[in-house]
Amino acid sequence: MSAPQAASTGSQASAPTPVLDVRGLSVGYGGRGGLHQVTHDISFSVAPGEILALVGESGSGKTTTAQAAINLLPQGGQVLAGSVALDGEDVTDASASRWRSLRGRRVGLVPQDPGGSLDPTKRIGDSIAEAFRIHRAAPRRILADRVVELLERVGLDDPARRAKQYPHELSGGMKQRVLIAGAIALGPGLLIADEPTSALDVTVQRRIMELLDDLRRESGTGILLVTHDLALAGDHADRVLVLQGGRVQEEGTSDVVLGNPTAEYTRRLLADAPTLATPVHRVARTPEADEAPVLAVTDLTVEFGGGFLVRTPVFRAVDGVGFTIPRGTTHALVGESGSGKTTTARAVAAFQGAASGSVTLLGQDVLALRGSARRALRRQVQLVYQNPFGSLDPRQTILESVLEPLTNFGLEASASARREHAVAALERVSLPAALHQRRPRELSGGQRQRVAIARAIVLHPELLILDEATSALDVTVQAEILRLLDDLQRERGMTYLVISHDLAVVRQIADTVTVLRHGRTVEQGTTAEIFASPQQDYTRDLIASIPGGAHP
Amino acid sequence: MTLELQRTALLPADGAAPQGRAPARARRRAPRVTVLLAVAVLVIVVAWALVPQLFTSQDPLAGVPADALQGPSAAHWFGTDPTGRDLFSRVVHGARYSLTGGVVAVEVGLVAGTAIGVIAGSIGTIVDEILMRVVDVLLSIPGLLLSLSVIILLGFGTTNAAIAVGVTSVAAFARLSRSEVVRVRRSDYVEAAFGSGGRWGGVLLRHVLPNSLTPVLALAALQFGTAILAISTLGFLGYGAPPPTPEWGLLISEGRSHLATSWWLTTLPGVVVVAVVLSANRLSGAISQARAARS
Repeated sequence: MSAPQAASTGSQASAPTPVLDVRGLSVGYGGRGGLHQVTHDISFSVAPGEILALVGESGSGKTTTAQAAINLLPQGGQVLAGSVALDGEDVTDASASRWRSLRGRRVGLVPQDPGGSLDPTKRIGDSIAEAFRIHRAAPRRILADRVVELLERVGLDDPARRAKQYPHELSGGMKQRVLIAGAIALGPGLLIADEPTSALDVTVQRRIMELLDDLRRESGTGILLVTHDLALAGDHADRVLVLQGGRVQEEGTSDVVLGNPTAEYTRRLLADAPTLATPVHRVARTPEADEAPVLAVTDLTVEFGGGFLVRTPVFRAVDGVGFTIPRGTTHALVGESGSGKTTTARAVAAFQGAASGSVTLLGQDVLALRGSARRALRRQVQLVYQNPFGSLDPRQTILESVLEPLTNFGLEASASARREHAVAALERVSLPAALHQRRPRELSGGQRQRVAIARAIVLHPELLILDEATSALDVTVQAEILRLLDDLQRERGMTYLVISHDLAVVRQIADTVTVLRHGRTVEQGTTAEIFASPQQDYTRDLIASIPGGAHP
Repeated sequence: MTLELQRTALLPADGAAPQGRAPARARRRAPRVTVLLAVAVLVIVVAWALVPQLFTSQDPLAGVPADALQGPSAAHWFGTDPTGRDLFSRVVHGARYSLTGGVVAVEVGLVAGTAIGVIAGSIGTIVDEILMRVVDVLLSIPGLLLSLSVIILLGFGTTNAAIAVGVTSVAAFARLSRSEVVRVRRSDYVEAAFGSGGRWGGVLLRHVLPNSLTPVLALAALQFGTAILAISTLGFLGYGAPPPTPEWGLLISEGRSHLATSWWLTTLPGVVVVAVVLSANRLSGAISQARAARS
């Protein structure tokens, strides 16, 4: 990783024409309330063979800036000031038809969500060939060969067969490779990659980033990388531009920005985004020798499919998973998507039946509970969902949402006492009284997740399940939520079951870890052991894929 | 018969933000004017049905033979029919039959259809399969044919015609409410509500129904217009109210034999029917849009 950086730093000295040069760019959106300026006077340039990362949190203007650079601002967006030049040509006021010929030829786009960016009714090969057809860039008879060449170039195995497949037959990582192949088809000097890996697993993320690294080294393509992940930017980009509120906070080489940041905001971002180098302050509670664990899962197996009338093939999502969690500690289930971690958690919360095995919560067999006994169990185990936008009823005020569990169980003596209790829970998660009558859509993502936590803790459950509870949030918000959870655990002696794909976060908050793959346990142990000396290749691969290795 | 129409009307409007500021304001104003117009038409027609004597002093049933078949004039706004009855008065008094017919038809469809849809959607499994296959059978019978069959079973008359029309819309209400209930039932917040110790019925009432019934209301407004049209069709065919009744479909039917000489006998009641149907459509669209804007 350090070799290409040295190479490109060297090439910068000779100052070739930058593939992208943005000067004093300000972009605004026109709406009912007048013009709203979202970026202010942003300048940067991308040299051939260089990766420049635009880093910032949601609302920082990083995507808007990238969209303005390729003239793909959403409706209502307009460039207020500044200029954009591609390969030295000023394209700020270029016509729509000029832009159509520039896109694809001079600048390629790698979108964020590979799942939704390929036409599901088209074969992979046809999707890529479209770029050639639109620009009439290759004669028809050699088109198929060019497509196979490109697929091979982006590292897909058996490219000739892949070209004949449909998107649903490919994994997320393969789709992203296909999209990269489409973006580089006409050999553009500049690639714009908008969060190219945020929808992918961490191991796949590393391979995609390595592919982008190869491309710029071998073809001299300049890459504008838009990401929220400062550590990822530090690993792969030559230079980093940190944005906040549409303004440049800091610009410099990755070494300087990550190693010796000058801006206060960059320092906060670095502090809030844990990496493997971040020191762990957690002091684990040591359970007594004869203490019964809060949760004991043994040999849990969950199957999907089968069916009574129409039989579908049986799919085993969880296969013989077992772990125990002592009171007041945190256990993490980690693994890539499809590893069965969420299914396990849902079985623990009695939202999902099991084929065999047992789940014992405070001495009760969860899987055997039905009806009112299962309902009573909900007082002991609560779940916080990944998506705070979907887990709150859009019609309820947040106070109503938090009040509901108390009403359901008829806790407290009177309606006013319940109300006080709910207000206290909301205040515990730092939501001021002014917000209590708002509806979820009027709150930010972090505030919504606080509401979801308040609703979960208002019943004083023994076990709290956090299903990727912070992965949809910005790093600074994530850090706040994690602090809140840590405080709550120490105050109330709560037990946590954490599900996460983010091993850097897991390392900070968990006492014990189970690594899952394809529904089976790969490795299990204390967090310190697993991270210090992983025994399995899969675990090593997961840990090695955590961004932030380049600038510890 | 109107399923395609309903589907397009119920789709949420594209959230495309208009480009400039001035045209945006104009475009936003324009739909509001048509919605106001639609509400005005419906309010007037409802007033006709409630207090017809405020709008016309003429008798809808007794005619003056000397005034037969006169064209629209200051004395007779809509002209007169072959027996010299004032047509405007007949249209005003007829509003009662058409509107109550529309309300009854929508009620039948809304209550029966939504009940089927909510039961199928919230219970699922084999109950869902059986109910939905029954609905499929209902959908496969052409609407007019179905209402004619029902009316032959029930006997002629205004109310029976309305019930017959309502039966044809049961399937549409059932489908829509089922799909909405299924969509909401799968959402995280419904599972979270069960997780907070909610009971099945409580969660259904507090979370699933409020979040799934707005499009059903939009469909009800749309069906109101369609039902008036269908009831008029039945009246025109002679299955509705018996002759002296000034029901709108019957008025058009009676005017048919004088189409060549007295255009107003068919055209003006027809225009009223069209205005009411379009107004109900517009209102239905406005409900859908308001819902799309909120989510």
